Amino acid sequence: MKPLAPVAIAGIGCICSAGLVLKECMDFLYKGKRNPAPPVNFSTKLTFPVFEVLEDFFQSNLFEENNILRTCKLALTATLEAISDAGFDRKILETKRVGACIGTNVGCSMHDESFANDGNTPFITPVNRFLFSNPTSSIASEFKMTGPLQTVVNACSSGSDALGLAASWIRSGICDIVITGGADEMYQITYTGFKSLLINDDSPCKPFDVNRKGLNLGEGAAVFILVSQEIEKEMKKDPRAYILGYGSATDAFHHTKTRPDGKGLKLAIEEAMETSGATLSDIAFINAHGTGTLDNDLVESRVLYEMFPGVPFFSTKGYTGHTLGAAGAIEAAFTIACIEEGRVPASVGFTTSDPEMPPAYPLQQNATINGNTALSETLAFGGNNSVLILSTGEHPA
Amino acid sequence: MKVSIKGIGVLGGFGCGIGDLNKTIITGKSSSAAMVIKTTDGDIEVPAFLANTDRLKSFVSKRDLRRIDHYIRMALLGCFLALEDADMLHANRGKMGIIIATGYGSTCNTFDLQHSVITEAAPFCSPIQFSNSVHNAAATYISILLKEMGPNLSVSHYDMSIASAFLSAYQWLQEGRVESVLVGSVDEYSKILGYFRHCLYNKGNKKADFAGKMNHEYAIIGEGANFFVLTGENEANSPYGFIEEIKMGNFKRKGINLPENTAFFLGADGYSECDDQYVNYLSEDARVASYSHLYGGLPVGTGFDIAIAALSNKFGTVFKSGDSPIYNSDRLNVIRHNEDLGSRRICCLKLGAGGSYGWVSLNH
Amino acid sequence: MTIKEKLKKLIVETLHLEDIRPEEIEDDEPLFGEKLGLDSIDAVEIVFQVEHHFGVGIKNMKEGRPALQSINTLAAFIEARL
Repeated sequence: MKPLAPVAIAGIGCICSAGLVLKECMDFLYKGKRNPAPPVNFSTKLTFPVFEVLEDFFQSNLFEENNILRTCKLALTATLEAISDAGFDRKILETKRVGACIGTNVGCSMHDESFANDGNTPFITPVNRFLFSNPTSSIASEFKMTGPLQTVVNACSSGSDALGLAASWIRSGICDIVITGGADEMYQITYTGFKSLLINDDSPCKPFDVNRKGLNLGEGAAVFILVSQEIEKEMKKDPRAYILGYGSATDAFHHTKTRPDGKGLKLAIEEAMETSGATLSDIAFINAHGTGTLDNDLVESRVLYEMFPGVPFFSTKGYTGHTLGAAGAIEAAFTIACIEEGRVPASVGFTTSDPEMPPAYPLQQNATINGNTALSETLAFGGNNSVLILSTGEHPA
Repeated sequence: MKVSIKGIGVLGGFGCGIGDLNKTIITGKSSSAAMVIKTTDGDIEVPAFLANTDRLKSFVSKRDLRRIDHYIRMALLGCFLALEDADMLHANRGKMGIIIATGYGSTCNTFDLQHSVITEAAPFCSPIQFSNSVHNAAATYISILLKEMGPNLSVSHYDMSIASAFLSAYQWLQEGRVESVLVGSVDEYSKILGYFRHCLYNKGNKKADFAGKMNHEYAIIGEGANFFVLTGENEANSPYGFIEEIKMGNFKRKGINLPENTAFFLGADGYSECDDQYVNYLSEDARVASYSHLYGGLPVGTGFDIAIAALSNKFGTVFKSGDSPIYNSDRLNVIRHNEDLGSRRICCLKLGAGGSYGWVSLNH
Repeated sequence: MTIKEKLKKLIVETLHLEDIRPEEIEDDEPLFGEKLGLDSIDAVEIVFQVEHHFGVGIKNMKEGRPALQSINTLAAFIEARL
């Protein structure tokens, strides 16, 4: 594919167990500590540690709709931070052609506990409930938007796929502004479901480490405000960053296991690099998927060694857990913040290398980096591979 | 950019395959099944249009199908039928993207899991059921069976799912990410939906929001799948025509700019609060039809309208509309008999929750 | 029904092995060999069904792998923990 035009990111918002806003999250990452614990937001007999947002984060006085599900509250909170970060008045979202494209684990399904608890003769108000369970609709309704809406449910790559798709909406001219990202709450069914697949670690996860036993789940949201070149010109300040490239490819192998030869990931990386016009030497670092599972980390380490020898990489899931539909977006936010700071965090959880992996190891200490461009990748259940090339400039430098 | 419709695969209450849909449009009738639901107030019976997936066995081995539930089977069969119709089942397809949309998601699984995890005293969860309930499971299976490594997207946005799926398909082709896209949707019947229908349309149910808005004979829950193979404009003209435009927005906040010289297929099906609002956005002389009497009420019903529009392009005929009092207002110009399509485009319009709208227009 | 018979019936039913009758599964044949065509998802499903029906848990696949070799090894694993 030929290089595509870069798409400007005017503002970013991020909330997860590491912090309620992006700056707080980054401060937490650079400290190198983490404290996952069994869930408190729902009752369960299981004790696998998770990364929950423990604070009462939702400022209900700032939003019109309060009777919404937790995923929507996370999404709205991150959206408000992104709007403020962009320096926008929220009224602009009502007057321009504004779309929303959000990734999440479940979209409009009746993923609402009150359905289950209503028993055999519930009274149903289905349409309203669908709106409650859908973060995209929540955002569109809250900010009175009039553009296209899409909810991406591509499992773990939903957040990065949403960003990639939203960038196309800007490039093709159908939107002036797109609110995009990912959101997912810690949910009992998902927690129990992952346990049944035996891929949870009963201790803090160890991405890429020889003693890794699986993942820890997390929750959160990250939202990006993408803008067209016309809006960019109207803005009082420069865009924060750019989406330079996006690649997506499928393993076509198994619905839970990663493809051992990594071919799907390689294809996605190649497409992202082609569409961004970036070369290997432009990539300052890689924000890996690194879940801590045996399969994912092994395959990913081999692909990174083959395609990006010598390029520093790390996983942030040791700090946030695997936030599923939000992961791609949260990690894209971290990637941009790291470029801005000129430093990247240690890949917490990694202490001892796995002899089955090639001789390239994730960062064990925080490190300084040079360059304005980096790569963030997500590998999903079902074999979706989604790769973003992000930069603080319109071109790699 | 013109995006050609190269093949169509559909299944639902009308049968299996574009041929069955064609026959059903001509007869104007689809047969429903009577579903019995046990409630604490006794048994209730609701009609539903169900899809049969027996034909899937001619495409996929029994062994490969063993863990696959009805929801995923419907999606798989829709995909295979579309590829067969496009004569692309065995050909070198080039790089193909796959997009699967759903309004409700894998409903039966989701409710079973909710029941076993949330309401049971000792929570439990089957890994097969959990992994099948993940929303991209259908897209995963089809990519594995077709060995297709192109981009793969699952979307779920209730009644706007089809419009957003087609939008992404269009943009993938426009950007040159793929040479073709297998795009479509699936929704399944579940007893919760059956109970929902009972709540809405049970005479004497004072809580029913929709009572009186639609003759309940026409508001039948539907399930099924509709899939399309789309390719870029260099393809030879397909008899099904091409996708001209896709638009999404909010009609309550900004109205809708609808195309001219158009026959409109309306997504009214008895399950949306906006079913009676089409009349406010169409001009007096706009010719309209609704076909939900053939496939039922489901959020991805617009996909069936697109298939019917493609058949209209193929035969040069707009088929007579179903009867339903919802949009049967004095101001609407309902197509009551088959008529020539002529040079008109067809716009498949859905007004949805929260004031959202999505339309997909076809031309030939 | 013996534990082995119950296991065979459980495997055929919950893994939807329509072409195979429970009695056709040999006690000592490899469960993950060519004949049954099972994979990793089937393995965790068996672990779940064993916990659900016998109350015997398998913590992870390190523990599970030797137990899941055959009907014999699985039955022995369960019996030792009942």
